[in-house]
Amino acid sequence: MSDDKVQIGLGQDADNALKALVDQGIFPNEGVGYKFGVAYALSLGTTPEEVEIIGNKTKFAVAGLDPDGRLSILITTFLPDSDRPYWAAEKLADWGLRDLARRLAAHEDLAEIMEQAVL
Amino acid sequence: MSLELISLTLRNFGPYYGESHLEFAAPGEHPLTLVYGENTLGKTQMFNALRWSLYGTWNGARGAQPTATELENRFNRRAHREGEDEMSVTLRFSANGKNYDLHRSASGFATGAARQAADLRIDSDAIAANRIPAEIGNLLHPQIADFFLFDGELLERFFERLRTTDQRREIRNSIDRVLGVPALQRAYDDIAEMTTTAGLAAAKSMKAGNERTRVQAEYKRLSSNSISIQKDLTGLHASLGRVKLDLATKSEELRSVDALKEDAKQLEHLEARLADLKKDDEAGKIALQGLLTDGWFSVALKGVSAALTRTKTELEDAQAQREVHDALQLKVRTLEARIHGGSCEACGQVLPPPDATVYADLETTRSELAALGNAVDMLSIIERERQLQKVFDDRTVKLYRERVNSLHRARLGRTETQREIDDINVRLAEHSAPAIRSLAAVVESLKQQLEDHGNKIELRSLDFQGVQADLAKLATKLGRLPSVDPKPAALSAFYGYLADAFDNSIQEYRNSVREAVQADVTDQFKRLIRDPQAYGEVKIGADFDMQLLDPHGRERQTSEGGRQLLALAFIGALKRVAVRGGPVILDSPLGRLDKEHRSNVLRTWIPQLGSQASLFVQSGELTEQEAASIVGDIVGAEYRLVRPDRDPENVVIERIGRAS
Repeated sequence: MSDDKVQIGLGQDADNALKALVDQGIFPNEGVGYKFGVAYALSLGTTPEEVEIIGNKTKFAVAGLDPDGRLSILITTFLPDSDRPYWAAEKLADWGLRDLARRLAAHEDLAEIMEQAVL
Repeated sequence: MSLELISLTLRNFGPYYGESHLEFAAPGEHPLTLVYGENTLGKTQMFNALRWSLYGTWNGARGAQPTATELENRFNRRAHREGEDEMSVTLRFSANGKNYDLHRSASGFATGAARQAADLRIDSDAIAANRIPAEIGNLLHPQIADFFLFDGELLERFFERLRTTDQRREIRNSIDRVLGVPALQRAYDDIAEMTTTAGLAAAKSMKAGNERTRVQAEYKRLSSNSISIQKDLTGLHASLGRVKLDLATKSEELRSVDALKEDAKQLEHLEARLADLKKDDEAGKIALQGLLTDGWFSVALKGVSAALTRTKTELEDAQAQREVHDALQLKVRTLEARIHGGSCEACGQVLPPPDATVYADLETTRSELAALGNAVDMLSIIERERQLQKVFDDRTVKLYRERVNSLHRARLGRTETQREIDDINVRLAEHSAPAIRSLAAVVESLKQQLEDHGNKIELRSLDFQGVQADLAKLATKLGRLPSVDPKPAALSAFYGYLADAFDNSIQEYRNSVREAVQADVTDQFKRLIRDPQAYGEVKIGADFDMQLLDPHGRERQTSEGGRQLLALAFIGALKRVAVRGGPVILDSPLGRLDKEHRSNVLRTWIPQLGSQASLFVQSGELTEQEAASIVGDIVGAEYRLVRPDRDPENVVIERIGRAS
């Protein structure tokens, strides 16, 4: 894990989606939304390898985004073989936020999405 | 109206024993009567006799009536001794074409209670005794006697009297009398009285007129007041109508929106509720955000939960393996202790010596232990479980759902509330709650106005009725009042105007006469004085105070003789402007004058008097020869007082001839 990323970001679409979700009041800030996107992607069995980020834009320092390490724990829980959880986080967040925006735009509500994820 | 002396008859008066008679020179070319007499011969007594005959006193024309003693002292002693009991003076004169016979007498000397009496006949008609002073006063008032009957002593004091305020006032009154001012004043008083009388008549006449005018004015005022009240009432009724109309309209409008009043109240309640719901919604949003802040990983619960389950199972397996391993190890140690002699680890009892099975059992157990392998690292499993617990969250999704549901319900309620608000707003349409409240206030105000107008109309109606009643009374009163006669008022105004004009004329007359006297005195004085160039003019003030000025207008002093000349000039001037002519009788007037000035007086002053003049002189003043030389041409009669028997109580008036 020594070569994991210390600064992570999003592709343009995912960034736009994150901003919109924050603007809609779903998330209190972009950091929570970013981490939720990772958790959401993991819950749906998404793997980083299948995600391609277009126009990556750095947004967070890892130390600031995940001071308690929960993001890293969550990723390694779902991806025990991953030795670069923050690299994976960037991919997962990108996919998760874009998908979440899509579904919300399709008039699904977040509570239902969350319930479906945990069933 | 000129008085002309005719004769003087003395009987037992002073030194004149028995009857003495003197006839005055008649006015005209020879008006001067000269009576020569040395001192104590009786000139002054004759002069006093004249005064007494006219005024009943010889103590100055305005002096007190003589007492009995004074009468007795004046009574000729010789006659008294001979038993006579009466003295008298008879003065005959004419005035206004009538002959006057004035007889003054005193009697009762024998009893020591002498009394005087007077008898006046005008053209033989006897005048009542109490009317005699008035008759004489009309012809030669006592106040003006000083200017017509005066002696040297009066002449000497004349100038001094003019310088004393009280005396000057007395002289001024006398001057006024000479000038006829009192007559004018009496005329003015008469006119004023006529004015008063006419005024009273006019007032009586005008009283009715004034009353009519007053009533008419009051009627006019009340009529105007009535019209004003009618206008007020008309205005008030019109205003009342407008208020009623407004009230009906507004009341109808208010009734139609009465139902909306409740809506308005409900609207306020709903709007408050909506505001609360909005706050709750905002709070709900924040709570949801808070749930995601703390439980962003809850969405991965499924995977985490599975991992956690697996880890727990792994830990249980490891625990079980550890327990087996530990039991095998304990068994090995126990078996080895039996073999080597030892005690039990658990209870401490000495173990029995080994038997054959012990060794076999030890071998088997060792084999099993070896087959079991090393003990699993439980700590790493426990640590992993602990890590998983950090991201395990089975509450947030449920709470989020509950909160979302709650928020949805709240939003439904908010939507419902908004819908109700919208419905109410539709009903209220243009009637906002403030507008409705304002409308209600307008209605209340209109009701108050209606009441106020009613009260005003009631009050003004009462006023109107009162004024109408008063007008009716005044109309009746006017009908009963008599018409007005304008003549008394016109007469009163005319007399009033006349009185004012007369009063002004008197003042103007007094001023013009004073100016004339001033000019005449100056002229006379300069004629009499030896050095006229040393004098400017004689200034006579409004109060007839006199100032002798030098040519430069400064006051100038003069000698005693000069003062007498000044007094003579003044008297002469008065004589010329006097309204009533009359004789001048002077008793020793020239004593203080030197020969030149005496000559001047006789030559210039006497002739200018213009009427009768009588001079009682002693030889020191004027001798018979001097008189013949100086005034011989104007002398009409000359007398000499003599004592035929040297008895001082027997003086005889001796006529010495008539000049041509």
